[in-house]
Amino acid sequence: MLEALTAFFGNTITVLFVIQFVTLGLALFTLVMWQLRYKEKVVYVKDLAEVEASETAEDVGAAMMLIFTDQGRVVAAANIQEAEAASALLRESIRNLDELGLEATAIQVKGRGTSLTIVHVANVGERRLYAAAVRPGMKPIPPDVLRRTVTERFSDVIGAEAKEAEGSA
Amino acid sequence: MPEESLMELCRRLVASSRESLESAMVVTEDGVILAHNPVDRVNEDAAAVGAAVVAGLKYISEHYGLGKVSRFDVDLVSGGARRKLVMKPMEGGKILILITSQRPNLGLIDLLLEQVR
Repeated sequence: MLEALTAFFGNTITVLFVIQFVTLGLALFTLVMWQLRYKEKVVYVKDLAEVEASETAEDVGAAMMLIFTDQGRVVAAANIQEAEAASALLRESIRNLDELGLEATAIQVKGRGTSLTIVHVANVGERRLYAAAVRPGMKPIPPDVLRRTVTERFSDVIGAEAKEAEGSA
Repeated sequence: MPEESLMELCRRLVASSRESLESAMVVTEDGVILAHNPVDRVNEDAAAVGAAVVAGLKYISEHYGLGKVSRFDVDLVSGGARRKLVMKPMEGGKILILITSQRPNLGLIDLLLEQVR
């Protein structure tokens, strides 16, 4: 094989250079492809989460929707500004209850003409997943309805989060 | 509202609730208890947490344009027991905190709360 290549390229040094160039090229190609695919996947999940959040909000008649973890990380959000700030504030309120060994499964806030419902949707590994939705009108979204709708709509994301949690554990 | 009236309010709410309420208390926005019923049992943890939760959620509500908040309901699980923590902002910056029994009549609680200003 080497003899054939040496005969083709003229000498052994050239053959070694060619082999090195080909190896380097393949490594670069793999790296670029992996980066492109990774970016594509991240964008896809993010877009999908936004679309799903909007659809979930529509399903339950909510004007705003936020899905976040007990660490305050935003999983998905629809029609809400400063989602990270909102999730951090909500997480603090939930943590106040946690510190006393009380687990909040649902919180309803009734405002004048608007209501906010926060529910514990599922446990994903060691993390707890919460959903918050704001609905115009005096009638708040029933916690069970919000929980069920989010679980159905986000079964893929919840699954992915679970795998991620398992991986990091 | 004087302290005696607040004590009477708490007593009346618990007595009229047909065992739907385990306790009622009125606290300041800082979590200081002004009145409570039953008189021989005071839940300081609930007062502190209630005030903190109301403050946090009130801020969120105002920030996201929910308007003036009239009530907060929290479903709680503690040691397998399910209860509700109902909080209602009152006049003068006070907060009424109710702890329900495990199987409360929520309609009756709504009715009783309508009379509280």
